[in-house]
Amino acid sequence: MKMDVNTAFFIDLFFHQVGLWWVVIPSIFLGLIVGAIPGFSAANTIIVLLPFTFLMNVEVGLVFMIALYCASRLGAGIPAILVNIPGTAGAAATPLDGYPMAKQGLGQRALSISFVSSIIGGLLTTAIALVTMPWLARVGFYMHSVEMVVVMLFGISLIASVAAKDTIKGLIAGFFGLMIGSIGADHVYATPRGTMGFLELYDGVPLIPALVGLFAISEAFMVIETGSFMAKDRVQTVQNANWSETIKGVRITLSRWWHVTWTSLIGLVIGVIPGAGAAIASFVAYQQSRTFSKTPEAYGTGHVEGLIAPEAANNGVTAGTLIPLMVLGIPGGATAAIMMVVMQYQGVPTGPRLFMERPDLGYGVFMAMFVTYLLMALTILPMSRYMSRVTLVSTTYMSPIIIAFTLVGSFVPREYLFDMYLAFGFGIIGYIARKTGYHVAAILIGVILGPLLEQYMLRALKMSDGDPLVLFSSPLGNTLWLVLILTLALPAFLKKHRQKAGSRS
Amino acid sequence: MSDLKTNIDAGQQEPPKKNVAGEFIIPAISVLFTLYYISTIVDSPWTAQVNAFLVGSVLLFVAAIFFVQKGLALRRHNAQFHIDFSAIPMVVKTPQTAFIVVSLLYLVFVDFLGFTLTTIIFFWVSMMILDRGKRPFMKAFIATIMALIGYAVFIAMFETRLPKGIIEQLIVGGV
Repeated sequence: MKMDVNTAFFIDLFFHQVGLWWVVIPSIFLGLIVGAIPGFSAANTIIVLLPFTFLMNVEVGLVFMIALYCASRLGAGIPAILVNIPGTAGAAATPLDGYPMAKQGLGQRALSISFVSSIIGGLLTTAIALVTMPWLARVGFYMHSVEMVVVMLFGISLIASVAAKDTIKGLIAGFFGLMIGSIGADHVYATPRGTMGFLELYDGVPLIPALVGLFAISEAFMVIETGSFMAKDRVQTVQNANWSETIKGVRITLSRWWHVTWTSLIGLVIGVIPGAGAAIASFVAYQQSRTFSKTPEAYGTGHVEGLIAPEAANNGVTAGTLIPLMVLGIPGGATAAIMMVVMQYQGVPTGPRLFMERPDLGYGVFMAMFVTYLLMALTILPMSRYMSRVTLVSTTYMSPIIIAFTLVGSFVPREYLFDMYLAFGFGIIGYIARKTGYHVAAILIGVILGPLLEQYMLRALKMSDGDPLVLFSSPLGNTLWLVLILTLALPAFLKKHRQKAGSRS
Repeated sequence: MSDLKTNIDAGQQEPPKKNVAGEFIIPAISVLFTLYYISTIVDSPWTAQVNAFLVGSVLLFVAAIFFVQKGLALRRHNAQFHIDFSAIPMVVKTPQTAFIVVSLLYLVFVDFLGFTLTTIIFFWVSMMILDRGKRPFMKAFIATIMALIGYAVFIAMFETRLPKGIIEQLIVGGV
């Protein structure tokens, strides 16, 4: 099939994808549900529904998967904001500032900010991906183990930001997380390490039980003491909420359009790197946002930009992960890998042949993503007013529901009862940590990024026969090291500069 | 008495010292775990050791700073280390402790009784504990509805292989 790819082609494609609204809208709602429940992800939902996908026309099947994927990214932020439970690891940085807003009775505004930054981030990065696909696909070629070690350190340096109030306690929590993340067989000789004799830990600590335990279960135990998810004097605010809070959230986000733009671009670039993903993107975006903020000390207390950064970044990742699949035929993540299976089953090529033989499908995937984000603006944004009312439900009912359903969520990925016990164990650790002033987010950052850091570092060291200088052997790597050092040093420099300016004025 | 009153009036009363006993739990767990972890890799190849030695040594160093810092604070009487054993019976009786125990029992029983029945019982017992026994029938109704929603979403819709019990068998048999 020979087609001219020009403006008319894209306009035609856009209206064609809008015509598939009957697939997109139900997929959005399904995606929201699976994104919001920890343990369920777009990838495992698509696997469950794979037989239906095979029966669908290939285009409809792809649109269904894309809409589900995008909506699940956005859905993961909803419980993260309202009840401090990230639906996926990609939303793990969202409650840092989203939940404090909900506790202040600003849940509706926080949801609105999260939705708008996710939608704008998604739209922008999809549009950029459509135009720059061939060039962006090359990013993966330049990012080797050495460069990836530095990217991981960008994410891990967030521990220092989280620990700003009490550095020593923050570092203990973060490095404890990194040690937990090291549990499991080593990457080269498969020697079991720190597994306490549990075979279930040979593959490492599963992410969902750690996420569920540290955030959800510990939160369920904590809120019993207060009897409510928010301060008592704020209940009236939520009860009397009207559309103005949603509109205010939209206005606040639009006024920070530049912040949404650059943090979503971080997501796009990290998304292109195979194996990286939304968790790293959101941590890096949050850390960078805090570094360049004029009010870094307000991060963690309900700072608007602290909410915008991870949400824009993790939705920027969605377009990024599909680029290697579409342009090179290499899936950039689990969902992209499943899409590849569906495309192969239907006899559709991936990689450069796709754009020669079926440009309507190649570009259509990204256009479907664009249309999904547009339709999400119309369907999800108005729901923020009603969703925020979840925070009004008494903890008498919410705590048991959170415990039971999130424990099930931790069971889902591997279907081991052991993972439910593991989640409970993490819940107790999280509860003790919160009660004694340690940040659970710092522990989680370590658990998520620790194994990835080790994997890339080992690869680099193996290539150089154990010579650590390999970490400083590539020009791109060295540039990233320099940027990392500048990023870490910048807050102190800016603080001093502002203090000087303040004392002068 | 009058001296104390004068001090209070002048706002000079010494603030109560912060009890730092709880703050030692996470560092203590971290240090113990790190030492255990290192013991499992002593005879392993360097590829299995490099990360743990790097991360573990930093953790042990930071924990040492913490212990020294707190030790100095205790020595200067800026903080206190006090474990109130007499409060334990009172803590055990709180709804919070009971809820944590019931949550653990949920994990134990879900394998024998199946997801739906265990979830109904767990919801009802926890809600009764947290609301101090008020409106038991209403809570039984909510517990049943919520557990059935869980069944519909997790087992029927997403085909999760959760432990099956009498209710799951009845539903499948009925269908």
